[in-house]
Amino acid sequence: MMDLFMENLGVILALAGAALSVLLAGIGSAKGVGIAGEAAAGVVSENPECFGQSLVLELLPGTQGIYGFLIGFIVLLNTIMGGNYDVTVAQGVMTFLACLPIALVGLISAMIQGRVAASAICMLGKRHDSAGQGIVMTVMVETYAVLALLASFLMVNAIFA
Amino acid sequence: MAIVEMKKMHLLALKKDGAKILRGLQRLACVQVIESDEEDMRAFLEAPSTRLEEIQKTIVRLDWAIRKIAVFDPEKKAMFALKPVLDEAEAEKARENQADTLAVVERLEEIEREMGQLRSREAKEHSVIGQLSPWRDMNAPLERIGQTRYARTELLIVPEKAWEELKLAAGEFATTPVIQEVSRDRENIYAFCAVHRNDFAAYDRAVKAAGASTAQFAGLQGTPAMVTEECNRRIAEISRDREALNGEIASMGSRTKELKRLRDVMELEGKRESASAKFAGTKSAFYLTAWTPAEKEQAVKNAVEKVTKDYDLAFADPAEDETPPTALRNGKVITPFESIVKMYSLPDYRGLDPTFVMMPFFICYFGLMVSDAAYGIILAVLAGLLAKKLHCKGTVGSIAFVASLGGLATVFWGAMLGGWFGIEDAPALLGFTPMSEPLKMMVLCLALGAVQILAGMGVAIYMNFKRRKPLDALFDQGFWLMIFAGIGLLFVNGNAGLILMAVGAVGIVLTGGRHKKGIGRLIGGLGKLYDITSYLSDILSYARLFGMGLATGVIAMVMNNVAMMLWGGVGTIAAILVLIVGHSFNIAINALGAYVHSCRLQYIEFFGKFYEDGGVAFTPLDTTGKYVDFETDETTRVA
Repeated sequence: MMDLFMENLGVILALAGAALSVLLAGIGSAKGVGIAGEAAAGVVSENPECFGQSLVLELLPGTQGIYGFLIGFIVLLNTIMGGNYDVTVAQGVMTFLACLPIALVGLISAMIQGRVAASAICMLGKRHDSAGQGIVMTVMVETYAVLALLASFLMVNAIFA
Repeated sequence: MAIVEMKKMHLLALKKDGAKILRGLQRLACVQVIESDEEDMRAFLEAPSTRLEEIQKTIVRLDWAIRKIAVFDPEKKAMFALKPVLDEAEAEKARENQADTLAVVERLEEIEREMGQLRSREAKEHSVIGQLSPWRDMNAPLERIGQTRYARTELLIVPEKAWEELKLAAGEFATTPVIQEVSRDRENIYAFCAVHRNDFAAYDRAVKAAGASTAQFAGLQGTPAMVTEECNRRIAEISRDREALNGEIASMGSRTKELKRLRDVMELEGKRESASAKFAGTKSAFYLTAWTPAEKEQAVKNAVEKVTKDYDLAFADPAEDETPPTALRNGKVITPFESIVKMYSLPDYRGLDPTFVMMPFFICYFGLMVSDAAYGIILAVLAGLLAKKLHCKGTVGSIAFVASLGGLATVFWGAMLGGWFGIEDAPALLGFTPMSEPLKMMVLCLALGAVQILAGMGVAIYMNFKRRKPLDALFDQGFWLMIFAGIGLLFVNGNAGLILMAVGAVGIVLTGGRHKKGIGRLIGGLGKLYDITSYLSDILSYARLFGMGLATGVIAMVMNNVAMMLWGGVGTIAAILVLIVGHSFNIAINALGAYVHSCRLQYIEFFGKFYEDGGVAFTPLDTTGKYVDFETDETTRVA
C-alpha cells in the first residue's frame, strides 16, 4: 500500500493541487455569489425592475470558481487525462505549489468580491442608474484573481513544457 | 466628436404666451432651464405652483395602478422593444380621455379598499372558527350557555393536571354538577359544566383553585358545529367576492396602455411645470434663463417666434466662472460608446470628450479577451441584430452595438491566435497560440497596454498645448517619455539610453513639485519620480487581457472534451447538448467579463493619464416619458 503510494506520489501531489484549486476557488465563488444573491433578493423584492442588473452583479464573484476549475483542468490535461502517469515527485510538488495562487487568492477574493457586489446591489436599489459604477467597483477586486490565474497557469505550463 | 458648445439664453416674454412657448421649447428638447443666478432676479422668483404637486400625486397613483393591471395586459410586450413615439394628436387624445382614464384608477383604489375590508372580515371569521374548534362536538346551542334561574352552565378550559382535582372537588357539591369533557389538547381539557345555584360559591373556589378559565361566546346562535358551518359559508362568500374583484382587475388589463400614456402625458406636463418653477416673473411677464447648445440658437428663436412677436431673446457665451452642463456629440458609430464614458463620469465642459480615442482600444481589448473567432461571429451577428432592432438607442441598444463591434474585433484576434470554438491546433495567423507560447502572448498583451498608456499621455500633451501650456506638457509627460525612450534605447545603445533616462529623471525631480513651495518642491519632485511604480502597475494590469482570453479558450476546450467523451450512440445527443449549452454559456460569461474588464482598463489605466471628469449632464426639457416618448421636432424631421 505504502509502496503504491510512494510510486505514484508525483501524480498524487499534482492531483491534490488540481483538486485544491477547484475546491477552494469554487468554495470562494459559491460563498461570494451567495452573499451577493442574498442582497439581490432583498433589493429585487422592493425593486423588481433591478433584477437584470442585480443578476450581472451577482454573477461577478462567480468567475473565481471558473478560474480554479480551469487550472485544475490544465493540470489534469497534463497528467492523467493526457495519459501521463509518470509525474516525478519534484514535478508533483511543483504542480501543487503552482496551484496555490489561484486556490487561495480565488477563495478569498471571491468572498470579498461578493461583499462588494452585495454593496453595489444595495446601491443599485437606492439609485437605479448606478449599475455601471457598481460593476466597475466589483471588478476591481477581480484583478487579483486574474493575476493569480495567470501565475498559476504560467507555472503549470512551465512545469510540463 | 466633441463636447457641445453651450450658450446661456435669456428670454423675456409675456406670461400669457408662457405655456405655449414652453411647449414649443419642449418639442425642441434642447433647452435646460436653470434658476437665474442674478441677484436682482431672485426677488422675482415665482412661488412654487400647487399644480406640480398635484401632477406628481397623480403620477404616483397612475404608477400604482399600472403595476396592478400591467400583468393582465393582453398586449404582450416584446423582450427588446423600442419605446413607442406618440404624435401630437395621440397625446391630445390621452389628455382628453384623462377623466375616463383616471376613473380606472379610482375604481382600482376602491377595489383595494374593498379587498382590505374582505380581508378583515375573513380574518374575523377564521378567528371565530379557531375559538370554536375545541367545542365542535358539543351539542348544546351557544345561546343557552349562561345563567338560568336554578343553575349556571359554563364552558370551562381546565389545565390537564388540575382536571382530576376539579372533579374530586365537584364530587363534594350538594348537588352533583355535570362536568363533561368535550375535547382535549396537549395542555387543556375543554369541558361543559352545569352547576346548581346552591353550589356556586364552592364551584367558583374549585375553578379558581384549578386555574381554569371560561370560554365566552356572546352573540353566537346555534351549536358550535352550526356556527362553524355558517362561518365557512361566509368565508366561501368572501372568496367569491374576491374572485369577482380580481376578475374585474384582470379585465382592466386592456387599459394599461391608456394609463401608461396618460402617465407620461402627465410627466411631460410635470417637466414643464418644474421648469417654469425656475422662472422669474411679474404679474404679466416672465424671465427664463437656460442653457442651450450654440447650434440651436436659431431653432430656439424660431420656436419662440412661432408663438409671439412680443419677446426679448439673448444668447451669451458662458462666463469664466460658470460651468455649463456637458453634452457629447459624436458620429453614428462612436455615439454608442458614449454610454461607457457616461458610466464613469462625464467630462468637464472645458475638458475633452474621450469617446473617440477610447473606442478603438475598447473594442481591441474586448476582442482579445474573448479571443475566439467563432464566438466573435456569433456575438457580432446576434448583438448586431439586437442593435439594429433598437436603433442603437438606450442602454441595451448601445451596449449591443458596442458588443457587435467587439465581436468583429474578436473574429480578428481569434483568427490571429487560433481560437476557433476552442479546437486545439487550429491555425493561428500570428504563428502562436496563448497556450503554446504564453510568454509571447504576455508580451503582446503588455505591449498593447503600453500603446494605450502612451496614447493617453499623447492626449494629455495635446490638451496642454491646446491650453497654451507647452511647458506643462514637457514637465508632466515629456520627461516621462524620455525615460521610456531611454529604456527602449538601452537595448540598442546602453550609454545613450542611460543618459536619456537620467535627463528625464532629473527633469521630473526638478519640475514635479513646481506647484509647491520651499522644501516641498524637492520632495514633490521625488514623489513624482516614484510614479514610475504606477506606470509599471498600469502596464502589468493589461496582463488581464491574457488571463481573460485564456479563460475563454480553456473553457471551450473543456466543453469539447466533455462532448468528446459522450460522443457515440445515444450519448451523441447529450454531447451536442453539452456543446450548445456549454459554448453559449462560455460566450455569455466571457462577453460580460470582456466588457467589464475592458471598461476598467479605460477608466483606471487610460483615463487616469489625461481625463478631466466632473461634468454635469445636460438635461434639457424634453419629451421622454417612462413608457412612451412624444414627438419632437427632431423625430418629425427624421420621419
